[in-house]
Amino acid sequence: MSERQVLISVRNLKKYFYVKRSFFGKIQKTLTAVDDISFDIYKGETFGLVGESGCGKTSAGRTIIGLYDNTGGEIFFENKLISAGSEGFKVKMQFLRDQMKSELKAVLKDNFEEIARIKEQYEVVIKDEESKYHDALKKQRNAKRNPRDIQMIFQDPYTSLNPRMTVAEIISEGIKTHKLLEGDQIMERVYHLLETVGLKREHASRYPHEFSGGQRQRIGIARSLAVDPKLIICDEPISALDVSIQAQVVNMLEDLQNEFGLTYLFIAHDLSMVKHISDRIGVMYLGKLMEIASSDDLYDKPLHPYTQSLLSSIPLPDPEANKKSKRIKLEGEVTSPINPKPGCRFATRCKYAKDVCKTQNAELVEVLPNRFVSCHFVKEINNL
Amino acid sequence: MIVRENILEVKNLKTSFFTHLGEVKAVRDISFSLKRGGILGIVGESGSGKSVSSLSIMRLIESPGRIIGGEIIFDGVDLAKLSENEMSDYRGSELSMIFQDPMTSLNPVFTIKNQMIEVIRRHVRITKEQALKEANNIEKPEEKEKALKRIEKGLTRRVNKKEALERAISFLKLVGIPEPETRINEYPHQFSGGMRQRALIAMALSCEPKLVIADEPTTALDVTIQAQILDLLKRIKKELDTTIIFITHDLGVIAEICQDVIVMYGGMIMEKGSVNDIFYRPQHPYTKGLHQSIPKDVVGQKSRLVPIEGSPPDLLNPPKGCPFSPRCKYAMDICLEEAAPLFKITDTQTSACWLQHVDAPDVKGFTKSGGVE
Amino acid sequence: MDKNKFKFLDSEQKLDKEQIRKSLTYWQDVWRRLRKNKLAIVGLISVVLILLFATIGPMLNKYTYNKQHLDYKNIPPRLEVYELDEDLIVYMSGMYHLILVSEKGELLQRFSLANADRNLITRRYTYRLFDEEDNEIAAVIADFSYQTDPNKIDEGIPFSLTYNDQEYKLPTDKVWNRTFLLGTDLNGRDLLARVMYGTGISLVIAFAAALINFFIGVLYGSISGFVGKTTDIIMMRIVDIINSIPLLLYVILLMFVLKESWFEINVLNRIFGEGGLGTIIVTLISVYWVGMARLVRAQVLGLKEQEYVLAAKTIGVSNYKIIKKHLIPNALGPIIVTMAMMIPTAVFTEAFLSFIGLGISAPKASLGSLASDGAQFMQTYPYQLVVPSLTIAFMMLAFNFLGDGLRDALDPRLRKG
Repeated sequence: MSERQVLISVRNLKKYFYVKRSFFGKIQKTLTAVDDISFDIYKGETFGLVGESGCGKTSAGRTIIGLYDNTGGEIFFENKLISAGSEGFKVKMQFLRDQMKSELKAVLKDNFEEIARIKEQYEVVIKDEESKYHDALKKQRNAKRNPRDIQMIFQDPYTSLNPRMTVAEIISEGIKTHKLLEGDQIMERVYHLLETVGLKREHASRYPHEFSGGQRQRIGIARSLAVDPKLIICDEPISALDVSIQAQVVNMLEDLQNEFGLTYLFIAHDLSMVKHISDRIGVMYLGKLMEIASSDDLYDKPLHPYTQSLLSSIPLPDPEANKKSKRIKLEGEVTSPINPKPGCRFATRCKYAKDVCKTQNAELVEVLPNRFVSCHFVKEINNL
Repeated sequence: MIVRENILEVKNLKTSFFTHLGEVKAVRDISFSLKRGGILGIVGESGSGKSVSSLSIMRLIESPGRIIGGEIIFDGVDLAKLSENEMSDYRGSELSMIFQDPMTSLNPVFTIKNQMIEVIRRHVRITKEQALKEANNIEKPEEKEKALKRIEKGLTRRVNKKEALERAISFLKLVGIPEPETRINEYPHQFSGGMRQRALIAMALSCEPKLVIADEPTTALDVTIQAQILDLLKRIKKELDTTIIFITHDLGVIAEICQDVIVMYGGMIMEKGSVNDIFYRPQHPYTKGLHQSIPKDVVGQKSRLVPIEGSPPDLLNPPKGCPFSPRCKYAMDICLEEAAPLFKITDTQTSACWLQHVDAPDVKGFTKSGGVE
Repeated sequence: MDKNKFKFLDSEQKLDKEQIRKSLTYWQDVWRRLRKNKLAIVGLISVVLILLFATIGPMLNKYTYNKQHLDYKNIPPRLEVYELDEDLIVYMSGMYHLILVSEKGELLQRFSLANADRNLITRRYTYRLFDEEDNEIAAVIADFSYQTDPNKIDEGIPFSLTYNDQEYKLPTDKVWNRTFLLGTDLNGRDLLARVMYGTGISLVIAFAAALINFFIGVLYGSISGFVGKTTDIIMMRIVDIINSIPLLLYVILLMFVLKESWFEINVLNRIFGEGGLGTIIVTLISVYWVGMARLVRAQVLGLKEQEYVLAAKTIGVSNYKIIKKHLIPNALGPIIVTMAMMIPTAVFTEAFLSFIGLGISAPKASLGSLASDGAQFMQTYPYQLVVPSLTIAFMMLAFNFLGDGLRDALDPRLRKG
């Protein structure tokens, strides 16, 4: 591949949902949907993001496109900052203050030394967070996001189109909002887009409920193409479609990529389809990235224990192969992303887990060229 | 291998829904048989009729739908002719169903215990031996006479709450739910998705039915949980000798768990065969098309999917002739006029395609048939 | 088997690949469901009839709502008449006016009663009928001693009529009043015309209130629901506070304050005319907008997370446009139902207020004020109360049936693919 430019860069992205506040607004439960993930997507490639339910892939997609404000971390598009998260620092400050208060309560009132010590200890940390907070605020003020750059294709073809708008209105909404064209040119572009996605000009005046699922998904794709985006985030675009239609849509996405030089972030849980369409894949689990590799490398030789068991769980459309394959069984269920415990998120289900896994989180490290894994014992497990 | 008898024979089943827009022909004449102890997979996409077929077998079709023809011979009895009362005796005890969405299949306001015991007490009766033991403990001679006479006729009493509870707990254990004695008192929302599905399976098995129909039971679950559930079903079939019908659109799952396969499209059966037949020697253009449209990438090569062009048929106005003809590469004149019968390919495999007919042109990949099934 | 049939088709022969299912539009589907609901159709037809009654009715009617016919005060719709002779059929009203009635029931002329003809001792009054040239045509003697004379009370009649020396003690016939189909009030005004007019006024008030409530409620509710967070909390608490006051009490107080106030005289009456029409509309609005606001907010909250709204956000559509093009059109169903149900509520509230004297006043008339006027004479002229009350009841039932039917017809869950 000729010199690859980074189109979008995600650094330490965090998206927390603060569920359950007390009457006074004190946060009691934090849902760590996306918890410090970093990756790059190169221009023209398809980056797949996989994981099971609750792993945070959909939240990641929505945070990247700006539907959610990121709690922490930064997103760069074409090397320019488009989003800096500050809320996380503010919440952390509040949390530290509360912690300090409760620690002070436990100390006797006349133990001035201890009180001073605790206060000093906390002041340092709180000040640190505060400066980070203001930094992030400043960055966010200077950050500029152009909505045309990143577009999204949604999962459910039955709810992603406004039932009261015609196909033409749906597709042209972006064009009109950004005043890209005027008058007749708008309809010409709508017709052109319809034909590009394999529909007909006559369809422009119809309503969504007159179309099948596959056709509706094509309309959604036409809508996102209308503003000439550079990156399209595909959030489970084929999960709700029949098998025979999925192939049509996937082929079309590939063709469009070649024709318009698009870059895709392909979020899905159908691992075989992700492998087919992606150049590189990131595997998420409970808000964290466990492994990033090219799709061939990932399927040929997965390095992270989670990826290994995930891939071995896929039933292949090949009866004899299924009989021969050794399934790595995963016991138990996915733990909750609410108020997670420290340490590696996968530790509770990992058969290689040791003590350090339960206390310390593993960083995403490049263990082989272009292969990133976050596991303390990745080398030992795979005999590297 | 011992040849086992057929536990289910479906003959020319037809089910339609009479809506204000017209008659939706959901199932248009399907016939198949199922051996005791086997696992049959029914694969098809939306509109193929696979779910409606299973609901028809369970006689769960409600207005405006109706079974309009055919026989459903289960263990010698034609289910299609039973009254609703008679059928409700069969449901749960002789044949039961596992549905797709574990979130909505369990009643959220009742505990698991409540729901399982309800089913068990409806159907399960104590064994003859146990009844005899109880009868022998009766003191008054006239009452003893009466009780023994009833046992003679085969009427034992239904299990009581305690017995039902024990049975429920044992089934929860069977499906792998940890600490079943305490967890049985919980509500569905306290169970995770995978656990709920296990509980549903336990409920479906609790009366030891002969046939279990599983309608897309793993579609809503994660891949790792799906693997657990499929393993569970395989184990249960072994331990309880239950016959299973597994309905899905996922070819991988079919290959993983099923022994025999039926491929449905547009309310009709396109192809029937053993799992190896369907995967290694498919005869019908639709089956072949399905295989080509799912990714089977070999590491290192990037191949292109070959989709089946077009979309699923409109069941209000199904095409005359073969339902797949509008999308079929090999469609011939006769395909538009008349649906093909199921041609016999081997002892185990049949395919409903005119290409199998003696007079059809020779095409690579399609064998001619000896005769009609 | 015809061997020729085994020929491959070329692509044109294959059926149209992408079958587009032509199904009904949203409103066609709604109409179809509404049609099936018999009660709703009854309601719809009734509403149409009511509208025609109020709008076209007055044009077809001979009389206006405020013309007084002093000869014919308090005449009921059904008359008990005395046929004294061929061509001499008379009716005695409750006010003891004697009226000449035609065979069919038309009111022709009123008899005169001079003071000299009133014999207060015998209680015999002589009524005389004159023609245009003041010639006496007939004289009828009414004997009211049947009410006072102890010997005659037992006969149980209020009076007898004597003509040409023949005494008639009981009415001979019952006819429908063909001049004033629903009778007249104490000022001789045609009750039918007044009821038509009153219905019109009630409808104007109800529709105006519903319409203005729509705008206020939608604006308030959509902002609250869309913006969310603190704004939503504050806006909804205001709504809660307004809601916690018993509405009827609030309405009465407001009417009390506004009536005769500077605001009413200089602002409302200028816009809406005399009689308090504006005042009552303002009162209804200031209380009932709350229901609409709540509903719209709930709808917006639910629709906000729909994928097509998210898609619009990612495209960069402004918030105002999102509310206008995506949220409100999809929330119209419950909004329409709420408006349809608001109408009977408004009708009833207005009627109630007018009944207790706080609503519409002269020169205008509403169904409530008509009922109020009629209530005074409940014992003697019950029709003056019954007719407007039945009209109110009929209107409310009709709108309620229609509203119920609309609710079912617009329910999105019932809509299939």
